[in-house]
Amino acid sequence: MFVRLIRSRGLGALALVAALLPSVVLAQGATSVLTGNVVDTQTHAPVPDVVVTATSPSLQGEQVVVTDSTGLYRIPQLPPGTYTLRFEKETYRPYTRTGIDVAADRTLRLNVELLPEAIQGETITVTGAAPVVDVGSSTVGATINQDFIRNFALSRAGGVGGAVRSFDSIATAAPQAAVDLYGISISGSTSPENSYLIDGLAVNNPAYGVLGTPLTVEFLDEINVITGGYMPEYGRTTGGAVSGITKSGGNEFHGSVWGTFTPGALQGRAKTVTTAGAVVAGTRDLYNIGDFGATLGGYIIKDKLWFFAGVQPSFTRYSYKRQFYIENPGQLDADGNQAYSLIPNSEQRRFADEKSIQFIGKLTYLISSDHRLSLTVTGTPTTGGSDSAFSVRVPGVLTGRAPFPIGAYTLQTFNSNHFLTNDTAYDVNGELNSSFLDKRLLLDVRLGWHHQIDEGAPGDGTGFDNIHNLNTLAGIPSLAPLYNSNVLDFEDQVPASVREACGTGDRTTKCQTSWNLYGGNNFLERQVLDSFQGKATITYLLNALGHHVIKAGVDGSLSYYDHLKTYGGGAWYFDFGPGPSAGGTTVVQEARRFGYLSDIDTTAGNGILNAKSKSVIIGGFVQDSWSILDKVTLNVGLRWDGQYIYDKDGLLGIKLGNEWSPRIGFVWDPTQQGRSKIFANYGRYYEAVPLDIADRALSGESLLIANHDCDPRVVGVAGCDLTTANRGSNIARPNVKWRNVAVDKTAVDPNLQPTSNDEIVAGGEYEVFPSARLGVSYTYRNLVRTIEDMSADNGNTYFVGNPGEGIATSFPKATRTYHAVTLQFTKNFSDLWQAQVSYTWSQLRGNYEGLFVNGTGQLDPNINATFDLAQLLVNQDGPLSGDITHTIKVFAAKEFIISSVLSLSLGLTYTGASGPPISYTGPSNETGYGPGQVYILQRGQGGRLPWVHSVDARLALNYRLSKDSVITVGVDGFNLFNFQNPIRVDEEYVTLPSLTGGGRDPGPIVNGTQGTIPAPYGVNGYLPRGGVVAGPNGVTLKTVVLPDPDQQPQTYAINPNWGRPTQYQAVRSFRFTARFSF
Amino acid sequence: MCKPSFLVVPLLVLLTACGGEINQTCIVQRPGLGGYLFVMDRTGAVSGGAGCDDTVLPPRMADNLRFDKLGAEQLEVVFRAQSMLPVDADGNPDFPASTGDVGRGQIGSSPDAQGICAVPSFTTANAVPALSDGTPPDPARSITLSNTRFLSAPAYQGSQAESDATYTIGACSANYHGLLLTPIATCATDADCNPFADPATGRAAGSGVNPFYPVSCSMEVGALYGEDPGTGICWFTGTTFPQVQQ
Repeated sequence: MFVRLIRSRGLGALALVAALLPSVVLAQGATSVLTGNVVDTQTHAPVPDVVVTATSPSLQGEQVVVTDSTGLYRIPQLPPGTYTLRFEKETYRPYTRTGIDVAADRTLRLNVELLPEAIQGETITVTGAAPVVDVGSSTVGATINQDFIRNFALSRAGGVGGAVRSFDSIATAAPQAAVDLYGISISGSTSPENSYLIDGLAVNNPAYGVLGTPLTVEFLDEINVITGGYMPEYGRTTGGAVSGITKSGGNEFHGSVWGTFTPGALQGRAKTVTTAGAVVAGTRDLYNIGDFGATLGGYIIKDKLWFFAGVQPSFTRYSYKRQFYIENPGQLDADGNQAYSLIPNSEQRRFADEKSIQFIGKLTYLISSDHRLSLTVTGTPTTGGSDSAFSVRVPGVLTGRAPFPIGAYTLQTFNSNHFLTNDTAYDVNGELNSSFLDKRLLLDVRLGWHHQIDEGAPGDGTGFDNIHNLNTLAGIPSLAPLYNSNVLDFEDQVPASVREACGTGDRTTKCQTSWNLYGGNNFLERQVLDSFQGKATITYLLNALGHHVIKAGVDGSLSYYDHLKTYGGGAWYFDFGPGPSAGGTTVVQEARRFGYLSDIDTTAGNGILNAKSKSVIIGGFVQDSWSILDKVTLNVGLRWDGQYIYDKDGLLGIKLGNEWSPRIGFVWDPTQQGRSKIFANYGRYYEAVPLDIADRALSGESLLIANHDCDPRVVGVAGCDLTTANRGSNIARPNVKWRNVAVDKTAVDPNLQPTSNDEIVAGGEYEVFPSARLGVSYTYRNLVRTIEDMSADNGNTYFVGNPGEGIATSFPKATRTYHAVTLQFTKNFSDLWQAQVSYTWSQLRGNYEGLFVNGTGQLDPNINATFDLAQLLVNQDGPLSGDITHTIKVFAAKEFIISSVLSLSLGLTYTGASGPPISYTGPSNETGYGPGQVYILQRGQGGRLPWVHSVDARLALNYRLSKDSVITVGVDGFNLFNFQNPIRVDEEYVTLPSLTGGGRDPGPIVNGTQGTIPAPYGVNGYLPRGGVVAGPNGVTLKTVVLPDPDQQPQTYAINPNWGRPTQYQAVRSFRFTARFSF
Repeated sequence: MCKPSFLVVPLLVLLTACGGEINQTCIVQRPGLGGYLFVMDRTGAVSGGAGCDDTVLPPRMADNLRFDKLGAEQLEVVFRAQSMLPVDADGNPDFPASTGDVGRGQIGSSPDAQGICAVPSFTTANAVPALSDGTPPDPARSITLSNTRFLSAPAYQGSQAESDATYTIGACSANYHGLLLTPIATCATDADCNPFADPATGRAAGSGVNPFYPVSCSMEVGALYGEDPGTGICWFTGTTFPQVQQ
């Protein structure tokens, strides 16, 4: 489907105390297990009936179990935390093991040998040597706990986490996780494919799949990143899982007060993105960003009812600057491009603002020792923009995580980007954890509601009701000029110096530029999203030829997407010019206008489209984790999911009821002491299709198109309608003035199959010394099929299907294959130091990137433009944008003791990644798909971007006021050496129609590679770089011969900007933090 | 004790059955593709008396029909026929001065079990004067479509239809039946009827004809439609409806 909006996201304990105090948790995320065998030291016989007691600051009261006849104990439903286990039985000396770090969703084995009482002595206490290898599962990923969050500079200001420091931004610390346009890419997938969870509640945006609730890490106790190898109890993701577990209250009152501030003034110097041949250039700089807040946890009824509450206001301000230039006729710059001179006093600045107030409230009720109930409410209300400032985000890309690009200020007017935005999510989550039959039968039930509002309204405070009032910003249509003209023709909010320099004399040759948008606001929308969820899981422990942990469960969700959308003034126009400076009459064509024809050439509708779509997902699973003689764990299970998507009329549009997910794996602990494992796992994973497809494809997007002789900014949509004229030759049409397109609901293959991945993970881990493990893992993922929309009639009609299958057999099959090998060393925080080091080699090949298109930024899950036309798929096989061959992540922290009350924490981070591939693309205007759609050579033939390095550090001073209260002040430095390597470059090798042959698009050089390009194309087998050459008529762009779509040689101007950086890595910045924990 | 699996399996069976069949929409291709080519055969004699013979309404002919849909529910189907277009004083096709040459009918919202969407009848489309100079049609002409059935299953999306038609020219009238196909793709060889582009062989865009249709390059149909000699039109290899490759 077309892109909706073209726009061109001891004392060691001092700090430990600070971390643990507010993190007394219970129940939520209580999914971990401590298990092991108890044997007699002398006889090595199993010891039954040993009382095993688990205690932890993370656990109210105690968890008590008794070993069975085989000496096995198993303590389930443990929340993450640091545990102490005590083993007691008459005739044996008591044994205590402390310092056992348990992460979420882990099974740790701790085997114990008890000394008979006959041997004299006291209680044996062992500290800090507990096993760290998860011997229960083959899950691959990383757990980021409070130690890690406390010790390292994470969630860079202005990055994915934004001012709120959202929990998903922390996930980049995990191997095989990387930042992409809309969040965190995991194991070669795109971020909307991930499952984002808070206390088990899915908080994905139901319409687009991206993170819907960017909850601050301040409210969370731990973040668990699963990059592969998960069991059937997890489903509906072809990416990974990023799971946050909220803090809870305890039997003591604890809390914290904090503030962080990142001043823009201390930012490193940024490389300016320059565009060859530009009259306007600009920069975007962080002005300031920060947050402050407080949390408090404690009890309402001691040992019975606890609470946790928190609030975190935050703010973000960017500074946008632009300057104007004027051509130096006939002169070239050092790069051989057209030379320009800066117009003095032409600098303009605007701010872009965003504010947020996040909150959490949580109650935990212990009904009895076997039954716990909890209720959590969170909110992330966020607003942006003001009467004089941009919003950090803009409609159409509200789901983006990066602030809108500087091009929005250098190629578009202020008014066309002046929005007030509202991006708010509320979540309610209730959970019941029960156990029966001496903890052999467990029941976990969860009910939740995710509610989200994403809104972009005109910057003057007007709204949908004003789109036909020309006196309001909402009522002014926006125009996209398709010609070059004097910059003053587009933007009237320019400095006087520009008005003078560009507006005097012959304007037709000065300050010539193309402008993406001018006039009023472009796209306006209000999205209201709801997801009601439920899950029930039963766990049964069984002894039969070993120990079984049998789980079965059902879950489901009901999601709604209520979408109200329109364009400023009611319509968006293409402007064919030639523009006032050339004395021409404005000729426009409606590019987008929502409406329909009620009779012949009679328009209806008010320009506003409202569609409410729905998705029902249900699923269930059965799995058995079978520990055979405590040597090998066999994990076998099967999951089934079904998804049913309904259009705006409540009619079933997509039925995906065939999602069977087998999972099988084994874990072998050669040491049998929980200190090593060798594992392998196979699984199939299915995508949960976001509702955007129901909103845009299944419901239709009825658009009206006509040509007019008018200036919509002056006469409005109604005034233009009066001058509607048919300029086509198709006079036989029933409607000769208007065309009504995209009105029909998109047809769907009745045998549509769901998108799925097959995955194999294998590897091993070994505890090289206490609290430290070394592991290697291999991950293979292969896309089985995907869902996309396609057209068999050159873009006139679309249908939804599986490329290469069913009614889409004529299309190439979607492919995406990922291989990765990760070497990882992890040392938990103990003995005052901590480390996590990983190296990943990976390869990502195919023709399908995922749920968004990296090149254009289009985020229309399952209806992106990629597969729309078969001819645009030529040359698309190759290294995908997420193909990063080498990734190194090093985290190392040490705490230095200064005095009994003072310590210094130092955390250092190095991240390095090799560059993604670069391609040669060109426009496909003849198909209507526009820039960058034709792969002139095979994907990735333009080489690769350079490595990107960053060295970050955290330095914190911890001062203990009393036993339970600590003041910490610190500074986080990001990209300390201010490396400035490009992370994106311009890949459009050709931007203009051919100079010969009547202005054709470029076509693909089929299977073309650099060095082997056949004559007459290219130069000596290669595509040369662009630039300008001086000629008798001034400077002109360098040219190259390429095939047109008919494979006829034509001459094309080379875009001189190809290969030039369009975005550099984030500059050096410092974040100052202060925290008081009690 | 109740084993978990005993609970889950029946529930899964129940859930698998829910949802029903997916809804499909009746799709009629709009004028963006250039309309349907209607190749028809006369089903009886030409009526109207003297002068009404094969030269007025031949036993086999072709027309270009352009359909569109109207209304909030998109249940009204309208069409204009190229043969009904007015001509100006110079004899060139012109915009109609009114909408009297538009035939109107009603279509269902969803295809039937065979993927067919039917329009039982259309109002008669009468040729009207030209917009530019009011030149009235001479002789009077009209077309009435009936029993029009679009193949609207997801794989075909309304790109094929069959219909009855009554053409009237002056006092002469005749009934026809034929197939309709869109887009109207001209060709020189059968290879030109390939639905998809093949850049390797220099074919920038495909014919756009549905890949499941049995078509070949028909010079006979090209001639019926007034194409130059040597230019054919991609047309069905058979005559029954629907024309779908098995």
